[in-house]
Amino acid sequence: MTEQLRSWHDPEVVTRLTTLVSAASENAARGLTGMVGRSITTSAPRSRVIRFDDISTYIGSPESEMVGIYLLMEGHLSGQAILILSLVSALNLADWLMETPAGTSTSLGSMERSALAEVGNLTVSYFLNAVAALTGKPLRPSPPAVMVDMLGAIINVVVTPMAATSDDMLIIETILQDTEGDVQAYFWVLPDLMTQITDY
Amino acid sequence: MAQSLFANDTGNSKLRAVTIGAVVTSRVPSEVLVAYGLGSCVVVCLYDPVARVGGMLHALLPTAPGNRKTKDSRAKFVDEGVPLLVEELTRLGARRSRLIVRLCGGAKVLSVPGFSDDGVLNIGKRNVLAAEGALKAARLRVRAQATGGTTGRTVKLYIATGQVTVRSLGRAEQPLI
Repeated sequence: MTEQLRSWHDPEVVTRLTTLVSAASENAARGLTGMVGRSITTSAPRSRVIRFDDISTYIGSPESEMVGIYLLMEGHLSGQAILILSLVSALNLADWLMETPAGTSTSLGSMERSALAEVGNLTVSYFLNAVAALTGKPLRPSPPAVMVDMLGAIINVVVTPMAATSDDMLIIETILQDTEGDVQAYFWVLPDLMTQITDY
Repeated sequence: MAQSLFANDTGNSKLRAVTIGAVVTSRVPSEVLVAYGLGSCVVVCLYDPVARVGGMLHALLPTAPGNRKTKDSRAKFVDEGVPLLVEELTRLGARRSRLIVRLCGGAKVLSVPGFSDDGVLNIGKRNVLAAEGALKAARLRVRAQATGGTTGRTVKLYIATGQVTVRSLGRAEQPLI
C-alpha cells in the first residue's frame, strides 16, 4: 500500500519512513565499509521536525567549516539527501580513500573532492538500492555536489527548496562513524512533502 | 593591550543572532547583531547614525508567493522583509532619509556541473537582485555590498557605531565600508 507524506507530523508515515531509512542506512554503512576498508556503523535513526530558524545551530556552530555531499532523490521517494561532516573527518576520509597515511591530506583539492563525491554517491546508491529493493520501486539520485563551507551556508542549500511553502522540515538523521572516531558523518534524508512511501 | 581592529568592540558587546527569516532591530549600544554562515541568503543592514538605531534582515528567498493567505514569516522573503525592517526601525525612532544601507550574502555555494548560472539554482543572485529592487522601491540607496561569490559569510552590525563587518572562512573579520 502506498501512502503520501501529507504532513511532517503524520506519525504513521514518518515512522514508516524512519524504519525504511534505518534499514537502508545499514546497507549504506556496509557499502561504505567495503569502500574504505574500515568498519562503519550507523546509529539508530531519529526523525525530527526542525524549524528553519533553529536549523543552522542544530549540528554545531553555523560558522564551523564543514563538508557537505549533497544530492537530490527523485522517483518514488523524493527529497534531498546530504552527508555532513567536519573538515577534519573529511580529510581523514580522503586519506583512507587514497590509502595515504593519516594526516596526509591537509586541504580538499580536486582529487580529494572527487573521492568524497564518490563516497557520497556510493553511500546514497547503497541507500537507495535498499529502498528500491524493499519497496519494489526504483529511485534516481542526481550527481553529488561537494561543498566545503561554513555549516550555515551548507544548511542553507537544503532549506531553500522547502522555504517557499514551509517554515520547518522533517529530517531523518543517522550518524555514520568508524570505531576509532576518526570519521563521523551526519546522513540526513529530507523527504519532500507529498513524497510517497510504500509499505513493505 | 592590543588595539582591537574595531574601535567599538570593548569586549562588553552582546551578540544577538539574526537567524534565517528574521528581522532584528536594536538601539542598545552594546549590542552586535550577527548573521552566521550566510550562503545564498541575503542580509540587509540598516543604520540611522543620528538616532543610533540599527537593524538586520536575514532573508532566504527573493519573493513571497502570490497566493499567500497569511502575512506570517514576512522576513523569509526579501520583497516583504525589506519593508518590514524599515517599519520596525521607524518605530524605534529611525528616519528613512538617514538610513545607511549595506547588503551582504547571495553566494552561490552549490555548483552543479551542467546548470547555468541564471537558473533556479542561483538563488543567491536572485536574492541580491530582489534586495536591490526592494531597497530602491523603499527609496534607499545601497552604500556598500559584499555579495556573490561562492563562499559563506558571517555578517555583524555594531549598534554603537553602525559599523558592518564581514567574515569568510579562513579570513579575518573585515569592515565593510
